[in-house]
Amino acid sequence: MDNALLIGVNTQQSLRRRMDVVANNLANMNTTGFKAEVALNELTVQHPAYANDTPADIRFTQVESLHRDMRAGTLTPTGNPLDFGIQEPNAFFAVSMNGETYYTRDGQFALDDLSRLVTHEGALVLDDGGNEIVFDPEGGPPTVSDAGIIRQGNLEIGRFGVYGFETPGALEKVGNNLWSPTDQQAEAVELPKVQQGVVEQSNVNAILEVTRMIEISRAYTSASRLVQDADELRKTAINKLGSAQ
Amino acid sequence: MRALNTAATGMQAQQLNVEVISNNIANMNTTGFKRQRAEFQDLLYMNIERMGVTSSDGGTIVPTGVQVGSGVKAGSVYRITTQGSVTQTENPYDLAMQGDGYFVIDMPDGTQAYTRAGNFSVSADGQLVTEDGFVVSPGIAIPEEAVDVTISAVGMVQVRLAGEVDYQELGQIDLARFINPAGLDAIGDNLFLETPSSGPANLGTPGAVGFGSVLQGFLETSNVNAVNEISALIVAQRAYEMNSKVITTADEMLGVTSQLR
Repeated sequence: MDNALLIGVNTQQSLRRRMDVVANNLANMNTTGFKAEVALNELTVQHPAYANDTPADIRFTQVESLHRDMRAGTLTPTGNPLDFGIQEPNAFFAVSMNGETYYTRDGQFALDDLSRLVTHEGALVLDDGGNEIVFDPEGGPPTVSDAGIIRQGNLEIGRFGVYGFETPGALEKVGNNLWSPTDQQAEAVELPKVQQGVVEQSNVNAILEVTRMIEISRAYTSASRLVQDADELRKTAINKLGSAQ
Repeated sequence: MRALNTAATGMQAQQLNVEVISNNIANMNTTGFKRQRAEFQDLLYMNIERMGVTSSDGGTIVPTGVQVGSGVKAGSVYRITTQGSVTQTENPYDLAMQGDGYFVIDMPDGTQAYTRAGNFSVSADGQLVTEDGFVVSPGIAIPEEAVDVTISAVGMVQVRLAGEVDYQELGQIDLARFINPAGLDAIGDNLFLETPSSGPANLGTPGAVGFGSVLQGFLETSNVNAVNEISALIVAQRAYEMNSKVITTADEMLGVTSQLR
């Protein structure tokens, strides 16, 4: 029997998944340091699908992998001395939450009641030695150099632990703008170009996403037609061939 | 369909964003007001195909995997405590704070509140009070026969009494500083309360190390920048629209499916 019907259903399933990814991108249009994603469809390696009378191999498709756009988002000035952005695309601030080290591009930090630099969720921001960064409450406003060295006046407080990865797109997103390193080794970035008083915007391109959404929606409709037509064919065949003379 | 919920979280987040922006714009002319900013974070991800797993007998591994996110949430609404500009009012009881610190206010219930709004006045019994009549710590009483009141940069209140030449010192205004002023709890009426995240109040006087100085006859305006707020509003509105488009599209896709038979 023909697989046209099943292939139509399979296409719809993978389109839904792609739609989910587009929806997540658009929902995170204003999320600091967010990196846009595209679901990539691929044909399955095996040939489980089967067609009558056609030499062409018919295959199912599935969302096989995800492509992350790791380009840096625009750095917008906020004027807040505890907002930091990284210009270098493959570079992340190291933070510690519940004893685990995570990485983030979201440099909207604050001081906690012990004068330690923390994220707005309370995760400790780590320096290049993996220790917390403690400010002097009397020390005046901080400044940060390109290399990530934090100073209050002339006093050096510490240096941001900024790390890059071999395949940054393959880090695991764990929510809260945090990334988990999985099994990749974090490598210190020599000159991360840390900027103060700026926030990195999400790099979602709204026009691209909306266009993609329209495309998915249309493809979904035509896949649905395919299912309908295959069904129609089968019905006709049953009625014509199966009628008792 | 996940896209529907994802887009709904996006719309909720943008709604909060608009609420925060509108509060900033509404308080554009509020003395000592500090603008706020809504911050967003991505929600949990569903791992459909985990990165790093072995994908064949040949030892190849999945490089990026498939993670589908479930939308966005408001991480925090952060108060940006940068200095507002000062405007001249020529009212002797208007005090602007330049630099770090908050005026300490003795609340009627015995607790203390903190404010940047220095538009004070004198009560019927001569005390320096806020607009709502709460006493400005440490409770300086200005005598009835005072003809001139001067408050110096270090917060020293001095008066010249009728018929006298010399100024008389009445006392110094208290200030409080916090390690994390963004963690203060806003209770309205331009007042803030101490919280565990702000850290304990560090009391002092104007002009002391780390503390700001006081400017008599001036007021600190809000630090809201109208241009920034309006452009943030436009961005928020468009983001809201786009998320609603996602809902429409997802709905259409579901409609197509339900019309199959």
